[in-house]
Amino acid sequence: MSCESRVDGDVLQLVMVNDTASVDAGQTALRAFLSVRNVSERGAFHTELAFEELAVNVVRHAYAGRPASQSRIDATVRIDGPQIVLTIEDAGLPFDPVQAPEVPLATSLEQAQVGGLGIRFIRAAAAHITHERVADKNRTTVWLNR
Amino acid sequence: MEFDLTPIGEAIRLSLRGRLDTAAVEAVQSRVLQSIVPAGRNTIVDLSGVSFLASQGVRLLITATHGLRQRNASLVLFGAQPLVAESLNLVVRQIIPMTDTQAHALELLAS
Repeated sequence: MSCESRVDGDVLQLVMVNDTASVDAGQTALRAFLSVRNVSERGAFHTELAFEELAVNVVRHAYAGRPASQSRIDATVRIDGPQIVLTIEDAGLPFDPVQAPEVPLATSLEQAQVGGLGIRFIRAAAAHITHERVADKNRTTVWLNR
Repeated sequence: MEFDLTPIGEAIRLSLRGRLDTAAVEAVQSRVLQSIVPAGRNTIVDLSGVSFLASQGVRLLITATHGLRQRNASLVLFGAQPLVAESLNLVVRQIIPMTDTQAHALELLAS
């Protein structure tokens, strides 16, 4: 499925489209990139988790209902000393994962919701997160411990 | 992602292997649920072969637990690798029982 990837030193650039198969192809490229850059198992797991949840969120919500061919998702992953810096950019509906309310943790199965888990995962994985809306685009940057 | 089912006494063991990410779960979710929920048997889920878990994988486990509960059956997770267990503890520790071993998972089903 459509995903363009390019590696330049310690920087991986991905261009995906609006479907989960494209995100999956991006995940494969991300894993290959991290596997040869002295990243800990925990650092790789958390980077893949943040990437997955942010990119799938764009597919499901920011670009909901738009044709894949008209909806581009850009991702950049940069190794920066002890950190990994992940940036996801899309031109979909505004969404700020920093300010988004966290769904309260369910204390019983009856209360459990199947939505809102991704935000909790992103926040737990990240050392720091920022979001900006620039030129009608969402740009979310996540710093993760390498 | 791959899965298989093994009867253990009156219970069923569902063994999951591979990555429980969005694309993988979307591909198998309906088959997994169809294979365990309609039968309504107590189920233990072996996660020892799962190397990655995203929110879509958690949704699958919650949906399966819900379906079994409606049929008066229970679901217990066991054997998760450390990083997968951390993720599960973050979101479902109070709603789906989880333990280290198959023997203890079967004990929890009986309790």
